[in-house]
Amino acid sequence: MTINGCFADPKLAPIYEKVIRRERLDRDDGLTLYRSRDLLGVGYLADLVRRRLHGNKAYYIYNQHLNYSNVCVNGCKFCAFGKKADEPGAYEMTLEEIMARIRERLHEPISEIHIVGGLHPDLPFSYYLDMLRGIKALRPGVHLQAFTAVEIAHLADIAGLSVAKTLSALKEAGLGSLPGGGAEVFSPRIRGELCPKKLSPSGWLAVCQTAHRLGLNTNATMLYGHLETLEERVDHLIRLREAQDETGGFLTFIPLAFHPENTQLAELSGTTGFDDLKNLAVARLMLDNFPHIKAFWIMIGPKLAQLSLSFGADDIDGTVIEERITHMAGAQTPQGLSRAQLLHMIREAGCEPVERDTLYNAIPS
Amino acid sequence: MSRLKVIDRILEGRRLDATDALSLWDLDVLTLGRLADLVRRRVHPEPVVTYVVDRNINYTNICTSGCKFCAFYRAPGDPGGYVLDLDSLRQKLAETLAAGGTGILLQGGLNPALPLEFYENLVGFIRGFGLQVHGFSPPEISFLARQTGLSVEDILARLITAGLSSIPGGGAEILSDRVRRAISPNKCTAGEWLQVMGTAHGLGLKTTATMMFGHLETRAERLEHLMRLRDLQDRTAGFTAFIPWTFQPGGTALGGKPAGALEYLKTLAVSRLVLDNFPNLQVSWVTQGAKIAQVALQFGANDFGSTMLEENVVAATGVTFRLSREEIVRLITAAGYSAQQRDHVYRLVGEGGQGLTASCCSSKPLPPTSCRGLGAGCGGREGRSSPRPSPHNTSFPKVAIIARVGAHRDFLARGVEYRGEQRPSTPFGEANPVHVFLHDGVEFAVLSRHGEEGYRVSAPFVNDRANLYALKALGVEKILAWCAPGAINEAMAPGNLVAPHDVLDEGKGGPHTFFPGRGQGFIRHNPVFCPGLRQALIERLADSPFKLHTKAVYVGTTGPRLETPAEIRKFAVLGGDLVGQTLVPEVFLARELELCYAALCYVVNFAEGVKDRPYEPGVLFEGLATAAEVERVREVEAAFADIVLKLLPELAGTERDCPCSRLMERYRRRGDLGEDWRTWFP
Ligand code: SF4
Ligand code: SF4
Repeated sequence: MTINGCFADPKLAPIYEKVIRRERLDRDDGLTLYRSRDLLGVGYLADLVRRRLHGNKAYYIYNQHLNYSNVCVNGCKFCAFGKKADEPGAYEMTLEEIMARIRERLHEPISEIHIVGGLHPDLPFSYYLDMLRGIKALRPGVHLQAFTAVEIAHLADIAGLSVAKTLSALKEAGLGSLPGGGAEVFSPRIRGELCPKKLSPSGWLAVCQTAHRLGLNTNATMLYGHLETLEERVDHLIRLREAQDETGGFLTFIPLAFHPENTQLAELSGTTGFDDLKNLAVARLMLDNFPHIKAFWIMIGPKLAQLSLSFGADDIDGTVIEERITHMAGAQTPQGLSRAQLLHMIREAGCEPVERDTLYNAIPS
Repeated sequence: MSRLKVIDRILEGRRLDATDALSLWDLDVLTLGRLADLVRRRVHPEPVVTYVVDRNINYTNICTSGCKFCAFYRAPGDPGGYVLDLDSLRQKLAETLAAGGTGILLQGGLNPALPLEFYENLVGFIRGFGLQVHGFSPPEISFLARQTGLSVEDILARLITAGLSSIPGGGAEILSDRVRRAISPNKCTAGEWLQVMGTAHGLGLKTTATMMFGHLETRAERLEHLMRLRDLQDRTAGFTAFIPWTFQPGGTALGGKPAGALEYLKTLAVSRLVLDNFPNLQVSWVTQGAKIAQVALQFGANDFGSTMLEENVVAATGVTFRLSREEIVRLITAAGYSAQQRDHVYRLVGEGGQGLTASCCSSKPLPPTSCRGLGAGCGGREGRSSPRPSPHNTSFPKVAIIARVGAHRDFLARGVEYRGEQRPSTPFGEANPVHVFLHDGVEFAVLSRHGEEGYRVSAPFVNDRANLYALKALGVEKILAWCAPGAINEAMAPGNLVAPHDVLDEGKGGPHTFFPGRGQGFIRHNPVFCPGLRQALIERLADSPFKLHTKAVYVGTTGPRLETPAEIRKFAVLGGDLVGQTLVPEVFLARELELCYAALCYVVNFAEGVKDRPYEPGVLFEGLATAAEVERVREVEAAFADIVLKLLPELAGTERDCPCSRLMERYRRRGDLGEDWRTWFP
């Protein structure tokens, strides 16, 4: 006897059959998975797919995060990071300050610099180009994963260029790929309520797909645990899956747990462990054309991130030293893990740690 | 022992030995979790998670023990030592009451300056506030015995007299003397710890047991710990719950890195699988945080622990998770369980109230469970049973409802397809007529215990044996008994539904067995009611408009007279919730015929003396209920057929993976009874 195909929730059995036959799951399957009380059953299904794709490898990256400015014209309700230019705590780094940050850590084996900021009304396009060029000059080998699709659209406005031309210019200056932020939840209802000024879902997808066509990979995210319904989550995933069918440039999907503290939605409760693991697992199952699923340990804590490796995630992000966006929102997690801690955590989960670069090439240790 | 073998053993419900248990560690975390969850669902079919509202009070931090893992203690004479004064205590107790607390977890260091009277006064003082005292772990008890020269038994007896209600399982650490010598050489030995617990159980005290792991013990030593607890529990059945938690190195002399979440969850799951005689498993949110604690509910745990209004010992290591009661309830609910408050001896608070002993809570292995999914690789499935097409156009109802007078008329009135009446002959006399219906492809039988008209057959004269024999002869496998008891427990109001889980037989009538004078019929009744049917009906009725109590002890009396107030008081003391004349001996007889049997009761009145209801000539139950109560009872009565139809697919579809179908197996094996039950009665 085995318990592999035996589920506490019998509704999972037909989905198991599909997973075994490698069939694409539909919207109803996605909802059944989200609604199931059988967390471990859902995890088991996701783990089947994860093992098929990545065996027991667990990826991590040694990267540096840089939040060049928190000034933002958008004022999204779920954001604890963006500030109006005249608000206390608003900041923007000069190019010199940025270069100093990079120089500080030149001795570390950093393979990627991850750059995001708010939508600054005044900084000129040249600031961004100079930032990329300057960093590349200091660290020629490093990969620059910079500017979410939302920032790219904003830069295109500032530069007065098309998105494609903007991206090409940034690519020439050293841009390597785009992070996945700003997707939030694609539902128009949610966006109308929480971030009406933000780049629309079709705009967001168009920037990503343009990037893909220019040979730039991007990631994708979903911010969950605020006002969205399970249907809206599934629809979000399906829309990403359809876009990926067309251009194939998404590398990684990263579900982002909403942290209500210090946001305009502070009355909401944070996500639970069930929800965090469920989102990873459902994403792994629905996004059959996404190579990677990342559990961002900064967001959900190292304990849950460790567990997430059994729930569909194959990547737990980096040895981050400081990460401002989540911590301003009160994430109760440590600010950094040493490489030794990270390796221990991965091995205790029964996985083989693989240090990767941005494009998931293994970095020989 | 290969990994598959151990899985087999678990699926078959067999006890794991040390070798099996060690091989569990080779399983991946999901498989281990799913197995533990399977066992958790066998032990607690209801999707309920309990929690206790209490406060930790550490009466002193002065301690001579100096355990290496402890960041809380001060040696006598060190700065920062304290003994709690009465004023702060009073304040803390008042706050606990205000927060809806039911008790105090009372623990402290081993402080040589405190006499036994200090402890007695402390306990009495707390009891004076109406709070339970869950206090003094075994190291404190052994220490007191050593200090005073009294025996452990005497110390416990004095504390019980002072009002102690249960003992927390702290100080167990790892019950292996090698480990204890290394980490807490001055604390009681493993043997002493177990002896204190055994003695406490002997005196009727319930206790919990803990395990602190993730320091310098091996996995084999963890298992040794579990085995020693299981052995003691086999003898005393005094443990209510097991609580494993991870050693927190911060601020302690041991240092090192804490065990990760994976190791915690695996250990929890292994504990659920090995400790087959422990009713409850508690998560440790204090060491794991809210998220992992919630996830732990899928790894075998069924209790969220305490709101811990104050936690000094772990807080001293720098781990300071805080959870409010609302947050605990939210976490439980978000995981798909219903949250219920309990007290320190695992009785539900505010509802049911009759203890949370598990359906398995015995020393013997659990009943086998076969898998319920449809996936590949599941042996022994029967599939959802659709009605078997009958060869001779006779009916084969698998499910029967035994209910009140003329119950079949409710189905006729609803236009349910009627397949006719049957009256099989039986060696036990005449059975009542059996009416067979077909609804949504499921055939079911309805039998009225008390006759079809009036109330012709009063309780003591129901021919249970003939009725049950007749049903069995028709092919019935599962019985839902519908009955109308009175409530001893005030939380069960008239008009409420109750699915009792246990029975107290206070009847004097008979016959009680199908096997008089034949030396057969020794059957264990734990659980009394079929766990599968019970779970099905509890799940299916979760959204019913009638309040449903999922645990209750049913007291069976003989009748036809109603009970006296003194009898009801006696039953209340014995733990009875409901009283009625119907289920006993029906349930026991049904089990002798290897039928799955579950009861769904609706409360018709408060039992005599529970409420002050003066005698009224000419009325019976109505006299024991107010007009509003009578109205609610009528509503449930009117809904009877709808409730049954709603339950029907679940009742029919539940697989018989419970022990019910093989209850007489031992007699078959001995050759006393033939394989076919029809040969049992000449
Ligand atoms: S989420 Fe992004 S766009 Fe919205 S306010 Fe924050 S920084 Fe600005
Ligand atoms: S764990 Fe208990 S016995 Fe050991 S030093 Fe701390 S207070 Fe004293």
